[in-house]
Order: sequence, then structure tokens, then C-alpha cells
Amino acid sequence: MNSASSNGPSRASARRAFEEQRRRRSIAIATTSTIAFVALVVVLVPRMPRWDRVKQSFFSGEQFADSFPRLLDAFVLDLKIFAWSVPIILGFGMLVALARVSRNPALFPIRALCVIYVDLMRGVPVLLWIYLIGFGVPGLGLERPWNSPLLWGTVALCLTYSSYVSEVFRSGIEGVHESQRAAARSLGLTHGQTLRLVVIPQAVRRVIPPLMNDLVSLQKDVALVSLIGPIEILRQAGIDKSKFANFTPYVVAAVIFLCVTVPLTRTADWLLARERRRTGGTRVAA
Amino acid sequence: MNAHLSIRGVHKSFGANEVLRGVSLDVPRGNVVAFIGASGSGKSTLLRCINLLEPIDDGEIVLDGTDISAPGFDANVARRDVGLVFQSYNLFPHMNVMRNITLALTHAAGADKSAAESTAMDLLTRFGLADKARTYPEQLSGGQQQRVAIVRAVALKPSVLLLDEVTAALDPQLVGEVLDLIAELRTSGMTMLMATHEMSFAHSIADTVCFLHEGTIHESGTPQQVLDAPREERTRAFLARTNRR
Repeated sequence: MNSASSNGPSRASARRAFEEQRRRRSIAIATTSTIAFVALVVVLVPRMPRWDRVKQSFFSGEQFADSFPRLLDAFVLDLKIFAWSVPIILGFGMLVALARVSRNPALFPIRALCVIYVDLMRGVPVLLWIYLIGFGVPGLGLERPWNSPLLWGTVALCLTYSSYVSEVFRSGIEGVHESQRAAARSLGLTHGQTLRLVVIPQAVRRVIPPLMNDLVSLQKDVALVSLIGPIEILRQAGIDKSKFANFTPYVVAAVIFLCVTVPLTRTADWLLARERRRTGGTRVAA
Repeated sequence: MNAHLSIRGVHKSFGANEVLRGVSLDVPRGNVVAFIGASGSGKSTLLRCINLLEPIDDGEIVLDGTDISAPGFDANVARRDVGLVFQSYNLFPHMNVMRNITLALTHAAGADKSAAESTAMDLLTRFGLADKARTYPEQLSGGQQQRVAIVRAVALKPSVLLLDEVTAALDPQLVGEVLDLIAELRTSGMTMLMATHEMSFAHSIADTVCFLHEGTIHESGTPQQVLDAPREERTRAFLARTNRR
């Protein structure tokens, strides 16, 4: 009577065995291809004609040990610029986003201004803004401390990144379903309360992963401020390079950057994956 | 005329599409009105207009003798008096059940936090949801979410409650618990206007059934008159289509 369940156990174990075999095969392929790739690099690169000289000028252990503490010190400035830029960028980015999604006709001029601002900032490389603002504003003949390139370089960084971040926030705000506003307004909450209590909290939660990606980029772009003067890690590495005629300081700087950006990137990916698990539906098998 | 809620000649268009073409209705206190009609007949729009979620183009909505649709009348105040429950629940997903209910109490109605929480807790207890107070909406069944949404609207002590096809998104076995809650509200004397596809429920609970067709009330009367012995050809055709399903 119950033919499906009577041959069920044997069918199920056959399927399990098949899945197991397939899984082992994929692991074997992945392992072999990884080992082959690494072996290729390890064997081939040292056979390049000038490997010895590259090794000496990029991977000198002695130079590494000598430069590391100095560069780590210089990196503190990068971290400082990053630390005081982030709150400014998040705050200003949110303000611009809110202005752009506002529906009040009286705010039209501000909306227009924000559109122009975002277009200008996003349309020009960060480096160019740092040059223009960082050299241009102090050039007006301001008194100390208002003529510091460090200050205006940071301002340029904040202005550019605020425009990126405002677009992220805006997409988050627009992604909150209209029915959420309807529910809040139907309960007698004002427009402002609806934004503050219902829309923004949901929007922010939604955009944390892309926001993290922007912050990772910011962490790297802080080094661009070095090009107008401040001695942070990239500049210090350049000084060391010239002094010792060796490129290893740049490698040291790269390693120090990676120590910060890799954990940040992994966290961003993890947050994104978690968000996708929560909202993306059932995953299709490979 | 001493109606609790009077809808007088309400017109509403979206662009060139005239959804409501002069709807008039008087609802005595404690009455339950069921709006039936095909999708697009204007049921939802009418309810959203009464809550002032959609500004009306013409006509007036008079609640206890006050024209709440008058230009310049504070819609936020009027909305606290006219609760609206949606087909898709629209609970706030980032807040637990308690906070969903107390949000408008504390921020719109000016209650302090402890008073709001005790109001919410009383209602949750009354409707068998007390154990869900700290739960988030996504962890609730559709029926539970909709009951919470109704409690959220009722907590503001509105004098009129509008229900917009509140069971339409639910699995059939979850419809009963929501309808029971509505029946219970009726016994407490709440004036209710509901858009519904549940004909047998409309029959048992409504004082008045209105058949909406192309933006007007085509036929209205007691459930016996409209649902059992409709006079209008269109009403008969609509009911015949509905009953066949």
C-alpha cells in the first residue's frame, strides 16, 4: 500500500551517498587547483631574471623592521582623519539625503542645491577636490590655524564622501515601503515623527552594508590628503623610500592598510550576507 | 441629522481617474457598515479618504458635527479619532509589538510611557496577545500581526475604526481569529466601517451593507436587503460572481 515509503530508506541513502561523493569531488578539485596555483607562483616568480633585485628593493626584511614603527606612528594621523571625518560624513550625508527626499514645496531651492552639490562632488575624482579645496581655500590668505592644508584636505574628503553617503541613505529611505508611512500617518504621527521614528531607522538598517563599503574606501582615500602636505603614512613611506632608496616602506604601508581594511571589508560582506539571508528568500543550490 | 459620522458628496480623483464620484452616507454611533464591491470600485480609497490619508477633492467628512476634511483642519488630530487598519497589516518591523502599539500613544496622543504601556497591555490581554508583547512582527503569524495592527489602532481610542480588507491577505484558517476580534469590538460599541470580501461575516456583523460600483454607493440597506434580496441588477451580478467562488 505504501510503496513510496517502503523503498524510501534505500532511495534516501543512495541520495546521501551521491551527495557525499559529489561534495568530496568538489573539495578535491578546489584543493588541487589552489595548490597548483600557489606552486606556480612560488616556482615561477623567483625564476624571473631580476627577481633578486626586486626582492632586495621591495621585500627587504631589514628595511621593513626599520620603517615599520615610523610608518605605524604616521598611520595614527590617518586614523585620526578617518575618525573625525566619519561622524561628519554620516551626519551631513543624512541631512542631504533628507533634503532630497523632502516633499515640501518650500524646500525646492534646497533640494535643487543638494542635487547640484551631489552631482559636482560625485562627478570629479576625490584627489582633484583635495587639490582644489586643500590648496585653494588656504590660498585666500586665511590666518593660522585656518590655513592648514590638513584641515581643508579633510574638508574636501568630507564633502566628497558626504555626497556618496547621501545617495546611499537616499536609496535606503526611498526603499522603505510607502505603506509604512501610511500606517504611521494614519495613527496621527506627523510627517517629521514618521521620518524620525519609522522611516529613518528602517532605512539605516538596510544601508549599513553599502555604507561600510564606502567607509572602507574612505579609510584608503584618507592617504590622498598626504598629497597636499600632511605627513601621514603614505607621505612618510615616500620619505623613507627616498632616504633609503628602497621601496619596502611602500609594502609596509600596504600591509598596515590591509590590517585595517580587510577586517572592515569582511564585516561589510558578512553584514550584507546576513541582510540577504533575512530578506532574499530561499537560496538556490549550486 | 445626528449621525456620528457623515460622508457628504465625497469626490476623489487620481489624475484623470475619478475613483469616488459623490459618495454620501450617514453612520449612527455604534453602527457597523460593510462596503462590498469589485476591486477598483473605490472601497479602499473611500476609507483612506475618511482617515484623511488621501485629501478629498470635493464634499465633506463630518465627525461628531465637525468637518474634519475642512481646509486647515489639523489632519493629525483627526486621524487619532479615526483609526485605520490595512490589508497588509503594516506593522513597524523594527519595533516589538508593545512599541508598535505605544508609539502613537506617546508621540501623537501625548500619553506618558507607563500609561501607554498599561493601555497596550490591557488590550493585548483582552485579545489574547499578552505573551507577544516583546515579540517582533516577523515572528508572528499573519493573523496575530493583523490582530496587533487592530489593537494598535484601537489603543488610541478612536471614535471610528476603518478596516480595509483586513482578512484578505490571511490564510483561510487565520481569518477566524481576526473576525472574532472585530465581532468583540462591535459588542463594545465601536463604530466601524469595513471594506470586505467576507460576505457571510458582513451578513452577520453589519448594520448596513453598501455595494460600491464605479465610485458611488449603488445600493445600500440591511444585510438582508442587500445580500439576500438585492434590488439592483449590478448588485445581483456581483453577488452571483462572489458566491460562485
